[in-house]
Amino acid sequence: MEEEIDTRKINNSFLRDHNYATEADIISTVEFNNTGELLATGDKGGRVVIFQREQESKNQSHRRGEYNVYSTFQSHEPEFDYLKSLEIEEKINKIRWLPQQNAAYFLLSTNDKTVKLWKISERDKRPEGYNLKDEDGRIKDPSTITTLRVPVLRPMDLMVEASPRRVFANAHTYHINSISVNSDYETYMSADDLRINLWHLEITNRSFNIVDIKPANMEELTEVITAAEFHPHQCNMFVYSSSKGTIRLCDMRASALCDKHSKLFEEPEDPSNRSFFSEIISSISDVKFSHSGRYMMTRDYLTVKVWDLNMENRPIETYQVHEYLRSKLCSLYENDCIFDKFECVWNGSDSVIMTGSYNNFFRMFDRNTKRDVTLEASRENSKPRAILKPRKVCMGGKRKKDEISVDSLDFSKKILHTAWHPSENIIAVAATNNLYIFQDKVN
Amino acid sequence: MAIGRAGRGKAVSTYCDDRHIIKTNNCVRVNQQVSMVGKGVKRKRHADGGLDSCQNLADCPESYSLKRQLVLNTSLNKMQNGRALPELSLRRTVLIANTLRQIQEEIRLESSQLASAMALDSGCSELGSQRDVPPSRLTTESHPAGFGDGLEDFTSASDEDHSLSSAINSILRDLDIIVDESPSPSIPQDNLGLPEAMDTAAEDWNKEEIQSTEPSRPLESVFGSFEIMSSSYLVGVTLDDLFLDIDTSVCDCDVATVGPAPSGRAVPPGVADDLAKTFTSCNSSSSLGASPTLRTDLNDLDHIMEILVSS
Repeated sequence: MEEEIDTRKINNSFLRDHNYATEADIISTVEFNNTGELLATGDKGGRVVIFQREQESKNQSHRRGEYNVYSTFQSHEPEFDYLKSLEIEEKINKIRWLPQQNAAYFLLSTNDKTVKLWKISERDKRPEGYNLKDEDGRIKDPSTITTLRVPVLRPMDLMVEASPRRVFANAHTYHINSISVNSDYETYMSADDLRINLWHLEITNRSFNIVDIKPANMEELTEVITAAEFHPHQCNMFVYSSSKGTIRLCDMRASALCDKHSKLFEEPEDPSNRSFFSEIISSISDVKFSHSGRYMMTRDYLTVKVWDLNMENRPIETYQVHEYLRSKLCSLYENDCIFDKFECVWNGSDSVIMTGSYNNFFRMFDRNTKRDVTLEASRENSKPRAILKPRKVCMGGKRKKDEISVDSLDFSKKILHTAWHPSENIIAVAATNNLYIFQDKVN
Repeated sequence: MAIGRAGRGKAVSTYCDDRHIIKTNNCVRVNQQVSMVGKGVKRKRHADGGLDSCQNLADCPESYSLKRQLVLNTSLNKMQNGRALPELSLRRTVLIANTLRQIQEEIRLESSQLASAMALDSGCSELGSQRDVPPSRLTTESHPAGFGDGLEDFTSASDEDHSLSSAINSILRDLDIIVDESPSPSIPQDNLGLPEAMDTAAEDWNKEEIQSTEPSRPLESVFGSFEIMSSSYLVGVTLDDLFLDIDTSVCDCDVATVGPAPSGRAVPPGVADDLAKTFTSCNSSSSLGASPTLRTDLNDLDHIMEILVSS
């Protein structure tokens, strides 16, 4: 796929020019809102940074709306569970936007244990002329007040405030890996390793458990939930994926507890590819419905698969992300890279899918033309407004110019989180502590 | 932290910029967990495992059993070290446990087939090849090798059989107790009376289930897993070296955590009687032939000593 890309990167790390990064700055989630006007990122330090797209102005027509920092706030703090002697990380695992219903923006952000609903609003006026307080806020002595006046609203510098409106806590024993807002815009679900809970956005002291795969005897535990998502249009349907490479589609109308699936999506294993690590690499790290709601996409360690919801026995498309790693599985198991959870995204029209890889590479697959491209998100290789050059990894033998050999790949530079604008060709790619935003070139 | 500028007009971010200052004083932690594969840089050997480089092993596809042993050892290491991780990833633990179980199952299948084949052979009946390749032969990268080179593995491996499953089960159970409010109600059946397990293993290595009535203790399971490692890791280690520094009166365990002494070596004074018993039993079982490729590493001892002393 030929995509000319105009690059503009935004670095929100303090240590800009160093090769190492403060761990707290590692970006752990990226998400566009429903219009694409806002882009939220969460990091390991529990902070959320929201970028807003510039309005296109007539003066600078060549600069199509760039993203600038709009708001930054601390969403979650580190906690300590005294009862179990466990630290609860403040890392933001997922952010999901709510559809906009008034002037304010709402998003859900979650760490391992607690989901929070945040309201982000603008304030550009402030009241002046209080009777009981003076301009600094100090209480006036009532005896000095001789006249009454009505406070007036005067314009002020635009201020963006973030305030927590709901805290949904104490419902998860295990680590939350996904949240998903329902299409009814009233409920949402949160999924941890063994259970999925359904919440109402207004009610924080009660949630309903809809999936529970915890065995009575923990010794029999062989499978965990890895991701879950509501169907984009049908508010009764959702899917959840497992560490064994299966996806279950559930209908909440069938019963209160959806342990019994309506559909089970699983591809039989290819016997020629069997290895000690077959199960580990079949573990699904992300599942996403297409915008149309007809398909869903799953990401396991080496591939991305597109499934038709009407066909359970195999995917309709399979794309190899980094097949050259298949011979390196033993080493990747040793250094734990085999457990990395990559995400995948659809573009607005469901024609292109994107996912990340190692060495700061990310891959795009065009479902129509069947072409794919590997691109790199790195400072050295891309200057602002430069066109990204496709990269290639060579398996062995003669290395052509500009190719990278498998053994030179940097496995500490992994792109786990990416996002695609809901309608335009703008993508956000998180590379450790850097956020890259790429746009289609306009000419 | 950049101060935001909204699309229209100037905006002042309400976020306090104190973090900016805090960051300068923080020491920067490089992510130590990830090691790069084959970038021309010599990789550090793990301190607690005398493993050969995975990379090298991947290059010689002949020895299937060696590879399997390597994966087994790596998995055991991970299970052990996983307890120290602040973030308990249940998914990772379950995946490693499944891999271990798979390998264990395969070893068990092979050893039972081999045992039956050997029994048949010794029964003087000419039965062609009863040695069917087990149905689920796994590979790391290449096709399975023949039976012959894995022979040594069977003896020590079958001893490890029960210890392995007990260890996996106990780790999962402990996770339950630690993480969940309501621990599973069932009383653990195949728990770690690992000394007992090793004893029985020594006598009869076509084994049945061992029932133990000892209540599970997280402490024991730590030792339990080490029991497995010890049988293949610490060959030829003398008891004296291991127990010189530690005060055994502190260590209230009846579990043998270190490998067998070479035959005939006297147990140093101060060690509990059952320890001695276990050592001799370990001795006999492991002397059947632990894998010769895994050599003692002093780092193994340090690691085990740490566990002993810290408990």
